[in-house]
Amino acid sequence: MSILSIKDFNLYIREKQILHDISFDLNQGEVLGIAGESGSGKSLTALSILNLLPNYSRKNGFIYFDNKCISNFNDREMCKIRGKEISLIFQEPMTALNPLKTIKEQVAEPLMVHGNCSKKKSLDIATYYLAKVELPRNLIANNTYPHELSGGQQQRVLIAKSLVLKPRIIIADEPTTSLDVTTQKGILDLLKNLVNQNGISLLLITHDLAVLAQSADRVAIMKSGEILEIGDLKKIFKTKKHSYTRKLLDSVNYSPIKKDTASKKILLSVNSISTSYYNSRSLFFKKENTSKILNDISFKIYEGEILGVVGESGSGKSTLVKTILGLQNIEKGEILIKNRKVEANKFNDLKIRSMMQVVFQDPYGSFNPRHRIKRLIAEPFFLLNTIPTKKDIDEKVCLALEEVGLSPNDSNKFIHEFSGGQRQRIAIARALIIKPKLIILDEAVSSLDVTIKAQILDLLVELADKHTLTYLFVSHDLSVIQNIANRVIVIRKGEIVEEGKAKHVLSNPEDCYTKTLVEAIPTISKKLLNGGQIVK
Amino acid sequence: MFSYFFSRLKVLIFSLFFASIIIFFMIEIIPGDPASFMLGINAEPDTINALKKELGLDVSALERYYNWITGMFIGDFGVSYTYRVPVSELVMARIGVSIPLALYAILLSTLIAIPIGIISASNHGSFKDWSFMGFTQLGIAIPNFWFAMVLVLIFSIYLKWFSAGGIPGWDEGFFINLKALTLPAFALALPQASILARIMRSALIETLSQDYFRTARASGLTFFQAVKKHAFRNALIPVLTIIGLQFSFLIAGAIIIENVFFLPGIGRLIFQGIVQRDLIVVESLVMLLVFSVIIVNFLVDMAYLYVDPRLRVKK
Amino acid sequence: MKFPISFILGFFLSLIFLVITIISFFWVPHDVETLNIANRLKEPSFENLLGTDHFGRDIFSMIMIGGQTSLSVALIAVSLGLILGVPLGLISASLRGSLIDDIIMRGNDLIFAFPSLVIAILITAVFGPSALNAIIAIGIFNIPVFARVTRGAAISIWTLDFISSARIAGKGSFRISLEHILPNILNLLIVQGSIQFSLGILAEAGLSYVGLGVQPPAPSWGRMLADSQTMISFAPNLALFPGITIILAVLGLNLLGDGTRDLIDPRLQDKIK
Repeated sequence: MSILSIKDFNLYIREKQILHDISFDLNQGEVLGIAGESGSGKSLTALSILNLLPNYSRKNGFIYFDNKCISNFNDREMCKIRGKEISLIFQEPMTALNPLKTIKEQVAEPLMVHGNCSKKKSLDIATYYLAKVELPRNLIANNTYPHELSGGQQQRVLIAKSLVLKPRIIIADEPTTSLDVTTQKGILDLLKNLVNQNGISLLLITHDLAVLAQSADRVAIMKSGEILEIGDLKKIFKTKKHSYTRKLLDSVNYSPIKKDTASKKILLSVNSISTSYYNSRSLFFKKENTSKILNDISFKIYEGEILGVVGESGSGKSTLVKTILGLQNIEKGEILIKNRKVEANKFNDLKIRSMMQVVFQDPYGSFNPRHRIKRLIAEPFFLLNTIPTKKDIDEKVCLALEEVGLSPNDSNKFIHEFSGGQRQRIAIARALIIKPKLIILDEAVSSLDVTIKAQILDLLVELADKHTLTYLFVSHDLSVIQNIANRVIVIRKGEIVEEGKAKHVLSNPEDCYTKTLVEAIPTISKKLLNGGQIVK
Repeated sequence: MFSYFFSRLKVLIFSLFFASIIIFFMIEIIPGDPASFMLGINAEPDTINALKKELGLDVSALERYYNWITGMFIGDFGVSYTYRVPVSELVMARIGVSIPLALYAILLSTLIAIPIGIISASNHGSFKDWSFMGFTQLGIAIPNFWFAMVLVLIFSIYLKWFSAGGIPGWDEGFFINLKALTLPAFALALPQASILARIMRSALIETLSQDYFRTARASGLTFFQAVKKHAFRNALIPVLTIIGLQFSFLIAGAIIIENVFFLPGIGRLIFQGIVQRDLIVVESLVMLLVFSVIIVNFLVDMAYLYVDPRLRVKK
Repeated sequence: MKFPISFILGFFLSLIFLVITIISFFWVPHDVETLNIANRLKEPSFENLLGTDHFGRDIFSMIMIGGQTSLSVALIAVSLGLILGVPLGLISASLRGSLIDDIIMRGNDLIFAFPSLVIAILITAVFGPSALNAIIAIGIFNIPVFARVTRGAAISIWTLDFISSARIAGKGSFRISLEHILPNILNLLIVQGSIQFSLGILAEAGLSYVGLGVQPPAPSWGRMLADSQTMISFAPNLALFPGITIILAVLGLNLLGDGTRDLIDPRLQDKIK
């Protein structure tokens, strides 16, 4: 029996149509997944159900909840439904909690608003639910504030908040996207269990098909504001009727074929380096040593290989990148590239500088918005002893642009004219232009949509094969690393816990942390994709 | 929590120390010899020496600075050369005008600004918002002394509701004095209120777009419940900062407004000091004003502790 | 591109003031240096657009010439703040967290405790009142304003990846500040500059009004108001017109600043898209 039913729903924001004829039913007690890339309109679909749309939006169509048409409810009527009948969990737990209120107050709030509950009783119920979402005991105190919790714990608090009134439906909008992979699994399991126990219907919105594969009963595939297909998860994944669905599924299990071109020559060696976090801003200018970020890290990179570095947030992997690039001091140890020492914050050793280039994660912050592409890509020429002539530079820029799949005509444009994927291509062109020995890819594909991610990985592998490049590929995403790296290092809390051939480490992890990490990766099983048969 | 307190306290002490050095340097070192400066070029050497002795200027600069600072700690601000009375007595007589005026103005500006800020932010982009913001633009652009003159013209000269200046004194009763301070306080509050209202509005708009506001709405709070419970206090943080920063403008405004309304406050005293070249009075009063600004900013920093739990770091 | 109303209004108001002030250097309707007591306190007419004052001088001409004082004092003071404040802010941002940054920022806080009027009082007590006095007092107060705005904006840019790329490309702090930071905060400085300019006009009027700024016979809007005060009951025009002039000038610059901010704020642009 359907508890929520959307019929022919259209949404316009500033007269631009965002959602096109959305229709679907959510049945009692089921988990319906909505999958789509950024800009597909999946989040706005969720907000439409609760009528929490941005200003200047106009809608038509019908939304039925419990056989009542709620799409024409006014705000007062909707307030009785929000939180009580249908509750919502957002993507960013960090910002979804009010930093100035205790977590208990916030969990108790829906009770006090809807349930005519006394403050004391609400707080008691809040305590019960906080225990139920398995928040550590010592944190369920009266004066715990959100900033004292980790991201996963904050998301647990939000789940508790969405549950306190035993709603009929929970809408979870990318509930695990901003969390680490090991945390993600816990949150998903918790959500699924609680929903099952209480007979709640769950609308799970995510970009990650693998997450859906493990949780959803039915699935809807969205693209540019339209539902392309909807139905039983197994059937959709098996038949792959729609070409876009096929493309998405292919991207998830995508693995570029990388030749193993590693040589025996050492390019970079990191010799037992350590760094600490300083609390430096103090009037008496004392530096207080607070905690170690990197602790006695050693490894080597050989010419021509792709070394993957995997770690969750807070593992110290971005600090590692900074120390190798010489952007941060090291306390102990040394970093040698081609037997030359990398000195932190000394940028006049051009010889060393010209051997390394980097591609960062954020395609929006990686470029000076005031400079043209030509100038952006040419910046590393500054490192060469003899700076080439203007004509030479222009030629090389055009060549680099072509190599990353862009047009030479793009060299006079500004960065805001490009999409996220194109920007990463430009970043790669910039890294390539002076033919460095080592390219560091710092979460270089992490902020990209899954189909774009596959294209960029293809490009990286193609370039590596063509020019025998060496990559240091840093990522939190094991599924990416396992496909592209030859060798892999797993770091945790500033220490290397495992190191070895990528295939080996990821199929037969020895360390127990690596094991949990590998097990936590959401995957779509072959069985699900093939429905038991081998499909060509 | 304590580390925050002590770090702000350190800033407070440093600021007071350097401020006192700057003031001392300007008044007692740059003119060369303050005594002859005060008496003018035609003064006899004997009179100058007598004055030096009287004012304690016949010792080294370092000693004078020491005496000045230690004196201030026990409430000794030196002796006014023109009035021949201790500066502290003059201050005590006039502070009863200046402090009530400042408090009255802060109260008025907050009472006007916060509702306007809330109404504008919650009707963001509407005609109401637009016209309120127009008024605040005007409020910022109006010089407060001119506004004071216009108030006098309308309410004292044409309508005869208020007197055009002066204050009867606090022995005459509370409300009669409050009435006398109303026009000056309004003149002072107008630009303050305009700035505060704009800050309140933009801070609220910022919080209204935060995820936690959406969470509150999604859990069934009406718009105004959510503003009351989740936006107001959060928006208060930047507003507090501005109240602190604006305090020094308020002081400057008060000095001018006291002159427009012939109020016998600290501001009038400073101007008399300048006209009569009474450097000791100017020096101590400027220090007092700067002291009050620094103290108010310290109190604002402490208020953050109450508003923002993230500063109350647990060990 | 769609211009906000505040920008258009502010732009034209500021332009009008600029043009009138420039004209006043070459021509004014009536000579304001000769007194004509017989012609005193005239109501506005075609001959005297805004009437005459108690000495029979044409108020409109005085306002035109007063603009020279107001605009130049404010302009020089703001430039002073820009020239000293922006480099301080850039240095502070490039050395954020260091001793030098700390000293610069504490120094800024200290100046904030001395409102421009108090600085003017200190200077006047020692050197006596003058226009230069007003410029210095307003200028000093502008330094920390620009230093803070610059530092705040610069720090947020320093954290972006393209700065790391530039450092990896071998560029030093000085070069990065000039090539990458400054162009990206220029908008903000222009906005702040126009707002500080308007505050400068207000401050100059205030200082001249209390006799700490421009001295007679140089005309100034603030002093015209001070002179009119005793006559407000029988000649309100004398106070009204210079006051409205100040309001319009300040309003124009503020609207221009706000409008420019709306124009360049990427967040607002995104909303319009």
